[in-house]
Amino acid sequence: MLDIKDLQASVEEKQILKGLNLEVKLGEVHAIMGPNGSGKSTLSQVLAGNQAYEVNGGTVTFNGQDLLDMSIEDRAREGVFLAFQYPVEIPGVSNLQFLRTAINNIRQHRGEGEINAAEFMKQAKAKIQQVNLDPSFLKRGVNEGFSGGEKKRNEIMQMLMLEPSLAILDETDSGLDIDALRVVADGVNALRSPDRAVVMVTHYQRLLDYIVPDYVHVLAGGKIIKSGGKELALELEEKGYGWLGLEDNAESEA
Amino acid sequence: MSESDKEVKELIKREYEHGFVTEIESETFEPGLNEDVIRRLSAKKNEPEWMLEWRLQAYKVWQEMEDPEWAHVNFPKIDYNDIAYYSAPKSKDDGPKSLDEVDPELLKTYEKLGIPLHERARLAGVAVDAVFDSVSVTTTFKDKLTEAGVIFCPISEAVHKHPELIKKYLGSVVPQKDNYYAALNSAVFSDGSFVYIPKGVRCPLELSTYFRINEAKTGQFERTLIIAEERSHVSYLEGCTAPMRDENQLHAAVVELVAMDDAEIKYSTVQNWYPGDEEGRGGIYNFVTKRGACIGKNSKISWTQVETGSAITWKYPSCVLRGEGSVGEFYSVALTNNAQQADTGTKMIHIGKNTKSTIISKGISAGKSDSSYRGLVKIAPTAESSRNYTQCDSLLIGDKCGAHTFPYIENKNKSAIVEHEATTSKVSDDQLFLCQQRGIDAEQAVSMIVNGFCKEVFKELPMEFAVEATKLLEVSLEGSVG
Amino acid sequence: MTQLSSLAVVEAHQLNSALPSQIQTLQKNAQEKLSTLVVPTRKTEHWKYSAKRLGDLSLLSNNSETVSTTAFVENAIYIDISAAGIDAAALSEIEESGLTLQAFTQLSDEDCSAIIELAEYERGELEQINTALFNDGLVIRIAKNAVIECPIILNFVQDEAGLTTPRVYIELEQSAQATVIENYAIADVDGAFCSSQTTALIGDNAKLTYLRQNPLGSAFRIGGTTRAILKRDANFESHILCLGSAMARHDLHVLMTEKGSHCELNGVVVTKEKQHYDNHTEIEHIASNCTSEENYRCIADDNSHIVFNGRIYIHKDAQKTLGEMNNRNLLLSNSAEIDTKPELEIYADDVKCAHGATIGQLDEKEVYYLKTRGLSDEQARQMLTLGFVLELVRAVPIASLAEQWEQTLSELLSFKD
Repeated sequence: MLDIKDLQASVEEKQILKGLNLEVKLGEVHAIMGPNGSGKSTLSQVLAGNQAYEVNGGTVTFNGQDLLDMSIEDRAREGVFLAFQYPVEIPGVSNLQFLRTAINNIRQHRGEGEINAAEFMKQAKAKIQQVNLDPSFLKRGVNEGFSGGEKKRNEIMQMLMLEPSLAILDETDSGLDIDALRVVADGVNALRSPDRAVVMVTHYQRLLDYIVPDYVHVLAGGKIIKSGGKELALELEEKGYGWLGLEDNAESEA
Repeated sequence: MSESDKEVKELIKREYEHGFVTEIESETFEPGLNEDVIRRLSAKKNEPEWMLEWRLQAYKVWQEMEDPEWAHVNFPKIDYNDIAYYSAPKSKDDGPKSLDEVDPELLKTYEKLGIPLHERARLAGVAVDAVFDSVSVTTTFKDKLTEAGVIFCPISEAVHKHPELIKKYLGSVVPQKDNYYAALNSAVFSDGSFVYIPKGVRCPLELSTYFRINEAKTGQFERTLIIAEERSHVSYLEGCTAPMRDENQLHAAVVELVAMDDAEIKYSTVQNWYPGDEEGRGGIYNFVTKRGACIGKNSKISWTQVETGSAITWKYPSCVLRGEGSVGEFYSVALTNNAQQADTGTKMIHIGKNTKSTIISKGISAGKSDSSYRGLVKIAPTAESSRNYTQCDSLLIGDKCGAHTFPYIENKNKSAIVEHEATTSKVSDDQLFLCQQRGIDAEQAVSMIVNGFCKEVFKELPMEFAVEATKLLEVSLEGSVG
Repeated sequence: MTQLSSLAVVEAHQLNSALPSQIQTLQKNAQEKLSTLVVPTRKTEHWKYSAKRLGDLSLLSNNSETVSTTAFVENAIYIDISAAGIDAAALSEIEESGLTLQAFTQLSDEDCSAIIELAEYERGELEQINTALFNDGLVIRIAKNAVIECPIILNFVQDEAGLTTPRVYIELEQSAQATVIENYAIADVDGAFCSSQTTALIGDNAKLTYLRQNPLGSAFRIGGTTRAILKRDANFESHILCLGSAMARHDLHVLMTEKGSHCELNGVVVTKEKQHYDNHTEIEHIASNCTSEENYRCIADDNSHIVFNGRIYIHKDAQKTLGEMNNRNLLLSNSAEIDTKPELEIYADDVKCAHGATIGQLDEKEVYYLKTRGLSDEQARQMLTLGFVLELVRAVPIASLAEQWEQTLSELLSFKD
């Protein structure tokens, strides 16, 4: 469903992705690991269409369409979901209002009618409980005053509501305690199905104890330098990135 | 300018909806201002001698005053002799006795504006006084109001029918010499609404005045006076529109509110005068003096305004909190787009003990507009244990607009507590990106963020008008981002 | 309406012919401007609350008297400035690597160009009076990369009635650092009026720490302007102790003209009896990516009057600005008055600005808390009142001066019997 070929991208005139290749098929879960500064977040942002990143080479095909040619919202409406590493706050706009507008836009895109209000409320309440947040969060402004963990859980909640066909998780596990990590993992596992795919970008192997990937890729210097099964992650954990001759350069993470 | 900004900008482009002109035969004075014009105006309205004297007195005061220049607005000097001070649709006699006598063109006009005056189509629960240029066209639901003892009529009518009230209260809150535009209004005011709520009466309907400027080259100088006796309660709403014209038109109104013991007046404004075109041609100069006096103990006056129109707005609805424990409130959303300028805010004058005031002001600037908040909180030495809380936030959309905050705080009582908070921020690219990533396009996203920003004020509006205000904001924002 | 040019003190003034010709031209121009300015009244917006405190300016006479000195910070460079002028010989005795001290009269015309250029920013009545009337001025220059460890203390001394117009120009070259303290000693007599002006040009990556103490008085009047012009990555930190007098006013104007500069303005104001203090601060963000922080705390007791007018002005190109202003005020008496006006004027869109102002009294919950720990009501109030201003005093980077300020404030704020 997702085919990335020789992708090159830069931010503020600094080249980050230098020819990245990746193919993701329906039903698969891919984990992308790599040291800080390797281009993990850049990849997520480019796929979602953040205009702060400039694509200067390569192609990305999504369900047969040129993804890079699509607007941010059209990508979302086609089923691309990005769980942000640092979700932004939108004061005054309630989670409910926000989600309903999003869902109706996606439904309209698919030629469906607006969601029934009662049905929407029922779903929203169920999903917010699924990520262990109090239903009162639905009425609060989007991420407004949420703690780091609450923001991440709210991202997963949105993902469950929007039911994307491709979910990209950008270091959603970073900074989470083990309980919150479980909630996030349960959410992702609940979404796993033969007609969806998940790309998880992570810095820590720990996440993969809870979400078992089909493939693990190591991203370094803007390219995927090694791919394998879930055992690759364990090997990495054991031997460190030094094993692949890499240094963890914390400063240059975009 | 970011990409997302550009997209939003392109999305926003709609014309002023109420810009049409009603073709109706009018009787309009030739432009010019002198004592004779005031005498003719007074004669037109068959006014008693005392009213004319009052006007002439105001005219003298006005002649000795100078245009205020302190506001953060720019406009060429107004030639007061180039304005007509009276314009009214021609009618057979003194005025329509019932709706049947009202010119059908006028009824159509109001219908087009969404304010049907016919019995069958009227807004439920809202009594409307429709003011067209210098005269009141009709007032709906008169019977129901009379039953409750409420007086709601054109002020020109009140001058004849309730002279004792007019003599007592006209100019009692906003004296003739208060400011330049108030003095001018006192001399030449044409019509407006008069409301009197007797003791203990809760007004059974929302009262509303709908102001329409139609005739070219005329000024509108309406005068509104609301008196709420002990333990009474009234909610009043005004709306305003004008045709699109290339020249500027002056609107200099005066509103006076008086609240006795335990009385409450809620005054809401949805102001949508023609703002001028994208280049800043035409539009209404809205120079308005609005003030409420909380005379009685525990009385309350609450101003809510949504300002999206006018080329220039100069307006500071205020409360004089004289009665012990009285409360003043000001909730405002002022949106400026294109070349609009707004200098608006409030004054809260604390005189009585334990008086409280709250100011929530939200300014939104888009296009190349300028929006200023100017407020005064004054605590007199007598205002023991008074409190004020002020919050004024500005939201910037685009990179050519300006937002300014000029709060004056004067405190002479040590037991008083005054708090002021202000922030200025912009709709950020990150926020838009998050919304877009969830499938919401940029226009919707901006409108959601703006509405969220204004929520605290909208919730103060009467239900029927909150919806209107939200829509109005969306329309006014069109074409604003980038 | 009295024109400033018609004041006796202005009419009687004679230019100091020892000044460089460019400076003399500047002064002549300023004198001409005085004929377009009038003595401020209540209607003059930036004098709205203080005009009535100005006194009768027409009675002012020229002042020139001798100098006396008090040392109050150890290891400091002391420079006395009086109406009589700057003692050039004394200046030349001060030896500190990277530091150059000169009187205006010692300058060549080329040396004056920055002084002339920066005079463009001048505005306001008192500034024009200073520029038109000063007899001499002091130039402090810190060379590139020089770090002057010991504070430079400017003693402004005025022993009798009359108008004095001290004038200082400070220039820090690239990456230089210095601390300048302005100390005013003015005879507390009616008719004593000091109108000072200090301009600092802070070069790329340089840092100026500026401290100013206004003396306590009941009769003298003082109006001072401090202007700092910040270049790229420059840093300006100011701490001001404001004690009241018959009329006291300080205008602090910071211009952030290039990227990456930062300023921090702290002020403590305490007035009693019939004293007055008016602070006007303006931070102009002209370039992008600059940050500013401002904190002023004021306490007014008895019949005194405090004015705070703080303005943040963000120019069109000053994107990515962060500006914060905070003004908190305590009114200790019902006959005292505090007027505050925190203004934001913003023409750029990608900025974050916030200001807050409060006027109130002590938090009764805090008073209660201290009382439950055994303090008397009076002790509790005194402690909290003092604490309210000491928070800012503790940020003063020179420990011995911070102690003195704390001492002064403790004495001022101790409750009457």
